[in-house]
Amino acid sequence: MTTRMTLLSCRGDERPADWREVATPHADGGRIVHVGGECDDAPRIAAAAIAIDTAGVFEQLVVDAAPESACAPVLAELGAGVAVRRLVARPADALGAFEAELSASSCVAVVVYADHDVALVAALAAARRGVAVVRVGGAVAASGPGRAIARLADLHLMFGEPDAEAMRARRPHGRVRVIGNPLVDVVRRCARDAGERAERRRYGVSPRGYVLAQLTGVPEPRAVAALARLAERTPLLVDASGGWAGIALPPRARRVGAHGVVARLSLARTAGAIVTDSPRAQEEAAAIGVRCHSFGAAAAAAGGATIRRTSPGELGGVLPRGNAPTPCAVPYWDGHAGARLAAALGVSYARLRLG
Amino acid sequence: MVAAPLSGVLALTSTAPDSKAAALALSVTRSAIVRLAPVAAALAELGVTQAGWAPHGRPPRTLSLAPAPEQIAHELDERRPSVVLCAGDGDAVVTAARLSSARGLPIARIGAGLRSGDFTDPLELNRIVLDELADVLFVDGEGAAETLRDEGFPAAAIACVGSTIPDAVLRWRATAERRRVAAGFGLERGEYMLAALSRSPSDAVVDGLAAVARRRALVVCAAAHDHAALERAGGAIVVGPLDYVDFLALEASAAAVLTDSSAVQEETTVLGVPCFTLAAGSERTLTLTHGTNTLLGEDAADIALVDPGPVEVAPIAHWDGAAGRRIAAWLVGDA
Repeated sequence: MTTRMTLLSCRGDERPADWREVATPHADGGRIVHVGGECDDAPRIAAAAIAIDTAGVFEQLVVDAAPESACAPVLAELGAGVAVRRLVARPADALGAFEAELSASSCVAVVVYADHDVALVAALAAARRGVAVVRVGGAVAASGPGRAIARLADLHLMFGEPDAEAMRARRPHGRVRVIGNPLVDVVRRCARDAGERAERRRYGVSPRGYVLAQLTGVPEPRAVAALARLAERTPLLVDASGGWAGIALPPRARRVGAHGVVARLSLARTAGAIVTDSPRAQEEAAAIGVRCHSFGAAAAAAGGATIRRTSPGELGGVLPRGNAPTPCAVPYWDGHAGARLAAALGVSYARLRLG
Repeated sequence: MVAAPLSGVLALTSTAPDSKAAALALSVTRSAIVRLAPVAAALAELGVTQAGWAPHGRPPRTLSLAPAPEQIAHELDERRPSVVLCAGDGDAVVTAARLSSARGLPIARIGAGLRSGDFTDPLELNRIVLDELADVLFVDGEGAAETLRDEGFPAAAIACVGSTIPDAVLRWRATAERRRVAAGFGLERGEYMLAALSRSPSDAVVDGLAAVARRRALVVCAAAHDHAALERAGGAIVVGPLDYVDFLALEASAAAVLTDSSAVQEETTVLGVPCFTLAAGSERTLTLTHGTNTLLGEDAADIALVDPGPVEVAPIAHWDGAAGRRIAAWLVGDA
């Protein structure tokens, strides 16, 4: 059985074609294992899984090691019809659990989407089993897990050319490719549904008349105090998870409940400003064109034009603005990152039939 | 020294008002304990009060602490050390380093930059991951430092301090030789060979040791759960695990040592005793180029033919018994 596409159709860069890119991959190319370690991984996995499924080259499995099985509902909402296996293990047992999972299947590559501890454990387990590690992401983070994952990775699928250039200085050029950002695929795919949903009505706020706080990391006291000041000045909706979930909100702020990707994007696209410590939220804001103020160690250069680095203490001065900036046109953030990812996996790991 | 599958956490907390060091050392095997002992002793000299460590920096025979990762996490959260010292390359230390990294705690790694080049060896991958997780890399020699620089590590993060194994050997050698442990087995100095096994031996290794035992006195030091398997080694004297000083006494008096332990490869180099490593590779390359170590492998026929001859030992820079002090000075001065 062969696939209905050739890999050439999904080329995302200007490299000269080689024989692998004009060959036809077999459909029994083995299994790709996606690693979900936190809720924010799920949209990227969904974009990749949908594209890989379209290519038809590989079987797929998502190993969901996120707290409270956070990935599975997001994948279901986004229509990624991929098998999900829950993995719950203590820190000391996680490595063995991942190794057992990989040994039980004909896995050809493990794909990680972030530089967190779960991704590091999965990468180490894969390297031990002789399974290729694929890192999907931006620049190599200064964090230890990010550096370690980059060392173990066989293939680096980068969000943009500047990140790729930096990576090529450290890794073989042929193993570094630019695919864009799979999260942007999801944002674009959900744009119409998010617009029609008008989630803001549930909270009684007007378009561009509120600030949305998307908080996922570790709460900083200065940021907590600044949010209280912010809530005094403007309508404030707070979407808190991780360490922020247990923080008491300022009296006039409203907590946004668990509501899914489309609802989240719906709230974000009509916000007058977003304040966040989440790289995912920054990337979404850049893609949909909402002014975003990032703070905290996780501040990322996502898209550039609409992201403002703000110290936690300055958050209290953020105001919603009506003139939404034009969504920035970031190269490769075109909604086809998943397809380029699938093509790169096919070229690298699929069995091929010439002619 | 036989690395029993023990886990331990060593908490080093500062109570000296003028000291900046507040270190938590994670030593997850006895081998790692030996490597950390000289640092603990040197920190004590500098007035850094430490909890959970044997008096005078002597490596313990057994560890009273065998913490689960949850306990290590609790210690890290409670003490919030300014730096976490890691030694060793087993899975347990990887777990401990991950827990530290997840909390944003700086990690200092003792024995960084060592590479065997065998990427099918899980420990080699562990070494790479541990080095990447670390913020400060203490190396045993210029070769390891060069390896790290070649791999892209910033030179400022690398500190060439030497191995801490010579510190421990030189500190306890005289005490060990007074014990006359070999005589307790009816053996004289240079009369026997010593096999020190930190892992369960393969059948080929047992066969090889049996052949050695047929022609020469052989003492095998191994974990208790491996003693039954070693009964096939015929006339060998099977012991262990031993107190560190007792083991050092046996090691110092042996005609040669066969081992799969990295710490023993370094100890024999310091002692000037011929060492034959029962593996296809070693990350302790200085012991091969400057020390008494020879790569033997695990083939029974090769093991059977082992014949200790004279060895030449070249001095190794920084293997002077002061590595622990250099690390401690760094911690107190810069941590």
